[in-house]
Parts: sequence; C-alpha cells; structure tokens
Amino acid sequence: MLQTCLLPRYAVEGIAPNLVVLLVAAWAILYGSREGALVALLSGFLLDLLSGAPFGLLTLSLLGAGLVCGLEEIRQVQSALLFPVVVLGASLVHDGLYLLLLRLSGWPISLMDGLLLVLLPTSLANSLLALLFAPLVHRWRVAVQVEEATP
Amino acid sequence: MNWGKDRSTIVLLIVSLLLAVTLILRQVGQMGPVYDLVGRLVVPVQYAFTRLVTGVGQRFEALTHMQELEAQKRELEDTVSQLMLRTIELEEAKIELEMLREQLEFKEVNPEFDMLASEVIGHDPSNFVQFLVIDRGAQDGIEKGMPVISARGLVGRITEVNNQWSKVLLLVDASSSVNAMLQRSRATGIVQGRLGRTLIMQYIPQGESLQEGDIVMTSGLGGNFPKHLVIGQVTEVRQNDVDMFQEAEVRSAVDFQRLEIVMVIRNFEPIELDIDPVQE
Repeated sequence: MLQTCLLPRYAVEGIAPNLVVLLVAAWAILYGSREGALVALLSGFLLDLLSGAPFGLLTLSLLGAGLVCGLEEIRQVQSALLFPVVVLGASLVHDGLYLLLLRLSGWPISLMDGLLLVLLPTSLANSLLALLFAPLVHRWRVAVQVEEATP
Repeated sequence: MNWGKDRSTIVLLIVSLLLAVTLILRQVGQMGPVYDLVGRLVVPVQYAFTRLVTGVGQRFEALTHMQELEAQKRELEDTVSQLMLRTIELEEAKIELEMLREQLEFKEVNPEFDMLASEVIGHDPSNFVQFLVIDRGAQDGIEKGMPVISARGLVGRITEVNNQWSKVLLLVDASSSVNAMLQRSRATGIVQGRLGRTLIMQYIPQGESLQEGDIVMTSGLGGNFPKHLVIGQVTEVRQNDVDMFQEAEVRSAVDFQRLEIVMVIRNFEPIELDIDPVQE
C-alpha cells in the first residue's frame, strides 16, 4: 500500500524508492535465499496485481533479487553496512531484470534511458533509504544468528 | 491567697467595667473612637484569617472535586482532539472542493462529454511504467479505451477494467502515443511519452510553423481520443534541415504525480479497440 499510494506522491523526478526491494533484501540476508524468494514471490504477486505492465514481470524480477541477496557468501559478511550494499545489488538486479523483461515483452522503452533515468537513480535511492534501516537490520541479524547457533 | 480565683475575679471585674463603659459610651453616642480602635486592630487580622480560610476551603474543595476535574480535563482534551480532527477534515474538504470546482468548471465548458469523476487510489509500483488505479470500474460504465482527463488536460486512457476499479495508462508512459496537433498552425504529429515523465511531439512535417509556447491538443486522428483535448505546451523545438520531421518537447500542465481526481469520458468510443499498450 505504501509503495503504490504514498511513495509515488513524493517521488523526486519520477523516482520513488522501492520498499519491497528493501523488504526482500532484508529477509534474504536474515533467513537465506529460500525465504527471500518466498517473500519475493508473495510481494511480487501483489505488486503485479496493481501494476499496468504485463503480469508476472515484477514477481520474476523480485525473485531474482531475493535469490541473489540470500546467497550464503553474502550472508557470511559481518558488517552493519551489509544491508545498504545488498540493497544496492538487489535494486540493480531487480530493476535490470525488470527492464529486460519489459523490453522482451515489447514495451517500447529505451535500455539506455531505462538505465540512466530509472535504474541507477532508483538503486541509489533504495540504498540511501536502506542506510536508515541498517542498524535495525544488523541487530535483527545478530539476534537471528544467535538463535541459529543455539543448539 | 488563692491566685487563680483572684485572677478570675479581676478579669470578671475588668470585663464588667469594659461592658459598663461601653454601654455608657453607647448611651451617650461616643462609640466612634472605640469602633475605630477595634477596627484597626481586628480588620487586618480578620482579613488575613478570611483569606486563609478561603484558600484552605478552596483547596479542600479542589481536592474533593479532583475526580470531577480530572473528568472535565479528559473531556476537554477529547474536545480539543475532535476539534483538531475536524479542522483537518475541513481543510481537506476545502482542498477537495477546490479540485471539484475546477473539474466542474471544465465540465460546464465541455457539456458534450459525459464525464465521470473518479478518485486516484494508487500508482504503478514501478518507476519504469506509468499507470494509475482509479476507483471506478465496469459497474460505473467504464470501458477499455475511454479517455481520462483532468481540468488541466489529457491524463491518459483506460487499459484495464475490473468491476470496481480500473487502470489508466498515463500519457507520459513510454508506451503511450497520441495523435496531436498544434493549435496555432494546425500542424499534426504524434505525442509520445518518455521515461522521466516527459512528452515529445514527433513527426511534425518540415516547413510547418512550430514555436515555443504553442498549445498542443489532440487531433482526433486515429479515433483514440476526442478532438481538442489539451495535451500541453511546446517548451523546446528541435529542427534539423536534414531530417524529414521536426520534434518538440511538450510540457503537460497535469501534475501526474499528485493527481487525486480525474474524469473519465464515457460517451466516447475509441475506434481502435485493441489498445494494448505493448502492441501499439
């Protein structure tokens, strides 16, 4: 609801951060690729219902982001700044995939324009927003790791 | 000698004497100085005592009415909250009224259109595509392809209709294209959306007069939109002698980001029924 009702109203130059990418990235680094993919599927499905673009594209691109963010190699990194960095990666993967899928489905969108006018600014906006949530996600992550380590 | 008994006798004698003197003075009408003396001595004490008693009384009363006061305080707080909410509601109603007045004026100027006001309930979640979700659907007589406008100009058209809500493809989406003409020179072209919510008018033949500030409106060609709906204003002209056509950047007066109320023209049937944006 926030993503479709509130954030677009405060978009800067048509760019609004994507909270769903933040959610998927956070979930994936907390609980792994499988859980991240599950959240991506559910949230992507809901977003696709509200989008005017061909159905399924948002789900697929979010799924890609969820799978990548939950990789064990990424989850091993112990840093409070992991979340913004992962969100940057997740945004690039999500928007990159979405742009490609849009093009493949025949949407008349220029790849260069898409990259420069939407993909990069959106990824940057998402990462900046992720910085605000980084301490919270880090604390949550430590708690999850402690819980997982407890026999 | 019994001192206690004697002291009582002396006091009794003094009091009796005072009473007798007082009576005599009263009889002869000389009580004024006595009253003055008494007043000077007693009034300040009485005054202070009265204040003390009143203060204590008030405090005691306040204590006894504490619960009542607490209830009154809560009641007042509730009233203040309600009034604040009411103020916000009134402010909101004022803004909405302004918007509706704008739409109504537009409706009065264009009586040929059967327009249905709809509220914008959502935007597309992606920054790549530009759609709106409105709160009117098939049950309100909305059909695919119907033009959507605001008092400031063309907004887009309906691309998906559900029972209670519909999706609107915005003019500024990359897949949107509208046959347009310049109001002044009548030169025609096609207005296309671009990423970044900009508009560009293409395919304007060379030699046609084109300048900044020209008003761009729908031409009605192709039958997708009614004629003479305002699209925007030319802000930049791109003309190159070696090209076949001229181009112009167009700025719409519609703030697509903050649209709250739009109008769907219900009595216009687009000729081209297949309006899937991808296939255009």
